[in-house]
Amino acid sequence: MTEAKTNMTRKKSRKQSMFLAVLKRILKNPVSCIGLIILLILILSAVFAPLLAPYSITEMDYDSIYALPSLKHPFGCDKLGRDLFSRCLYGGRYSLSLGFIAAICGFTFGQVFGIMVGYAGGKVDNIAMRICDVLQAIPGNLLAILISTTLGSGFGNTILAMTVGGLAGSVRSTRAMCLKEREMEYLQAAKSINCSRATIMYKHMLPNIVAPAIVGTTMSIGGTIMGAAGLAYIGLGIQPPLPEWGAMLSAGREQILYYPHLMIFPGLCIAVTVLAINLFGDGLRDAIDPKLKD
Amino acid sequence: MWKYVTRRLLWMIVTSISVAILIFTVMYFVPGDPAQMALGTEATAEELNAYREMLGLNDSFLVQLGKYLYNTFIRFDFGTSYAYHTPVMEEFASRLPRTLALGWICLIIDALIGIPLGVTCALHRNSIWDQGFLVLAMVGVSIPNFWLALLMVMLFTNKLHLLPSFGIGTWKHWVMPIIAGSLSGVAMNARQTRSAVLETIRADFVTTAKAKGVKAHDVTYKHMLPNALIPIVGGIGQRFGSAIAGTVVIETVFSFPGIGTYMMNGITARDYPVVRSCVLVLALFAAVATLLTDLAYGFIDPRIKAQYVNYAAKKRREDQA
Amino acid sequence: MEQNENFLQVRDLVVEYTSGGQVVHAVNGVSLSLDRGQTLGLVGETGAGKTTIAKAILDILPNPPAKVRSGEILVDGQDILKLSEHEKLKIRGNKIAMIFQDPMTALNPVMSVGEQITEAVLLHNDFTRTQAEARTVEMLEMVGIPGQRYVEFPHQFSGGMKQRVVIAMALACDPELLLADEPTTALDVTIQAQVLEMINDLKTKLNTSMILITHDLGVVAETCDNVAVIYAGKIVEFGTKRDLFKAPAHPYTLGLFDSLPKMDDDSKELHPIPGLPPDPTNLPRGCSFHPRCPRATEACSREGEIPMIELSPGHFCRCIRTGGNN
Repeated sequence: MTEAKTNMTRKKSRKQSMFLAVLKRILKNPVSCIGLIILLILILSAVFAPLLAPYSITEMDYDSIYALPSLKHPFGCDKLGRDLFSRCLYGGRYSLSLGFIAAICGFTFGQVFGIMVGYAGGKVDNIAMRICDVLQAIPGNLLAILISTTLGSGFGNTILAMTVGGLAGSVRSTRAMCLKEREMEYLQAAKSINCSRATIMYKHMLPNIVAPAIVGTTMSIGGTIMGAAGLAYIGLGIQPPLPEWGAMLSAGREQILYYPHLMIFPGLCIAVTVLAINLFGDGLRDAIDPKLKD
Repeated sequence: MWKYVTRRLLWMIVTSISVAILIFTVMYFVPGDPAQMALGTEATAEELNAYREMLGLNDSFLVQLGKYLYNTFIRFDFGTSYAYHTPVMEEFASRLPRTLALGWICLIIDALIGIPLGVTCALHRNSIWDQGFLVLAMVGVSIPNFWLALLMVMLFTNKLHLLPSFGIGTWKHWVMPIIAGSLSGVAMNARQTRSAVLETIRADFVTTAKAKGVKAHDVTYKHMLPNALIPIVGGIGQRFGSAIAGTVVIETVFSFPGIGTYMMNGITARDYPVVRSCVLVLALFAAVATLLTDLAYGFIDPRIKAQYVNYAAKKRREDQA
Repeated sequence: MEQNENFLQVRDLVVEYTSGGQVVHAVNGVSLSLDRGQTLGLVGETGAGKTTIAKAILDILPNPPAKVRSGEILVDGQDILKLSEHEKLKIRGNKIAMIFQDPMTALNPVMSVGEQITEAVLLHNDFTRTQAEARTVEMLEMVGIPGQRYVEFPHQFSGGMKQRVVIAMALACDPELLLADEPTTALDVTIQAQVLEMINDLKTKLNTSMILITHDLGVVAETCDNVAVIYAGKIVEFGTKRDLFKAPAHPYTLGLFDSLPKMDDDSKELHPIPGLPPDPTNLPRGCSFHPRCPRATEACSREGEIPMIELSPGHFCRCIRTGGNN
């Protein structure tokens, strides 16, 4: 019993030290460090938006309709006199949570099914791959457009659309790694001591293929946020009056000639968020797999 | 080789039919009534019903699907737009070349600018220029193309009055859509090329070439690049699909009369034949691009060419990749 | 052919790598000489700096991270390191050629093997393309590969065949000096002997000098005239093959021989050298081998260079405990 316990703690501490080592390597890289800091600031400001926002997102100030950026309204005001800075702060909630939820859904689904399919092989594998062929034949963002059209706009539907668009790809890549791993001897060793299928798949195989998948998922979050904003921009994603960046950008487009700040700031929010995630993801990849780095 | 191409083409037909079924099914469940959309709110129930009968919308799902597949794949008829009452094919004749041209030009610019940039960075790796460019490329990847498009409209149309912001006609109409469509691709190609070249820089065969007395320039262009190109070509092929689909958003921004705007109009008007055909055609071109990429692969890499001869082995490779 | 003596001379070669802010001392003052037509064996553990020496002679070390700090490499009295890049190109592959360790990765995967040999032939001869191709076919057949495999790609060859291609490429321009970097390590034991014999035959036929890098004393016994034992980037013992096999002097050389399994020994145990090769970023003071040396005394770890002692004419050893004291 005690032995098992020390074993557990040892395992835990090993995992912890691996995590720490990766974190250390990320912090050593100034570029990914900057990405991480910006990302943390964005997340915190989205979480604490109610405390930080100087105005409510629905508060209309008829005296400052289309107000240009000033001390009173750092990002200016929109056509209803709503404070753009406050709305951008709240907008982070949609974009960030959407990006992360879609990434986690895609990751989980991709891992579970990818390993299943890869490990099962044979007929199951073949059928699954042909389904992926068909799904991948439609470019991801086109599929997302189709799904949002069918399901209608809204937060949940956008997540679903963005997740489904990338599903086939993530199942396929997990499966490919799984096939490579299946040839390894440690799995045959596990089989030889009578481990159950589930144990082999999720206890032995998963830890070995999860790292590249984590990196890939992180790198995909930026694209997902951008894609979701694109959906909102063309009117299929999250809809006004919700303060989603893409939707705000789309609304600001009408006044581009006279009040360009209405589209500059929401767009800047998207770009900075995506950039921060990409920089962090890049550093994460280097940290998890140092040999990929020059 | 030809056997391989034929099999791939056959498989493409199967995939296209499956895609068509998928699209049809998805569109079938789209809420909204095309008849209502076409006739407006004043239409009586009888008028609506007659209209639906005319479009065949009152048939059962399977009958509609069968008719759709028969028309699309046997008669090569994409149907008639509910909204404009013109055959979809007719619209395609003028719109499709534009979208394809836009997609291809963007893709070519991606390669022509991105690859040399990546090579230069890799050859001067870890210099200030390289590091600076890496960050810059990351910024390029992170800027949403529709935002970039709007920023350009602000600058070139509203401030400088140089370029028109919508429509089509002169070459000037193409400048901004092309820049908006290719920026992220250039940045991505450059990053990918850089890491692919870096991977070959330390390869043993590069040392062998140097030991033979090959000039530094030839080592780069005769030995390193052809090997580094293999993953790059794959990346370009993968991006073709998204490049084509990406034009949907860009076309919307610039009111560029291509497939993308046609499709978006179709979506708003619940114009099923239009939407279905647009998605199908875009998917088809993406599939052709993938096939071309795979063939280009074989052209660059003799190991893969050998596998094309043996199709079974190739299929296995593809599934693993 | 007038200058028969000391065709190659390396003097005080120092090579360093910089990696992640740390300096790796790969080669620390190596001097050696080689006569025409002779074979010198470089023996030592992995990471001792053998390959670095060979690459430095061709000046093809990846720079950065590697850098030749000091030293001279004289070929026919000419210092290679001082030549212009243009003149170096004429020497590489022509006067000096190299056979690489791993045939699986040494060939360009997207170029036909014939093309890769023809490239070298064309670079160093005034041949037309047809002549160069004829020469390539000739070389391929010399190493036992049918000429019609000219158009095939590396992936269509087995490891042993690839190594033959690499050898054919190295010999295509009749080099005067051949640097063979563990030419048999990556091969099956059965093919090793074949390849070694072939290199030897070709070398005598062309009167080529050779530096053979290996960690296999058996290979040394078969092919070399002189042997240099390298430890931590320094030559610790140098002599004729006979000197070394009959009277090994340096404790490290002795350790190498001890670690071989012996037929006539009844004991079932091998005697590996205890410990690990030193960290090349932080070499021990004094003699680099002293932490693992069974005979080390306090004097061995004292600061300062251990001198080479000539034990008998042509037999040198870098150890203060050998010679007079032992």
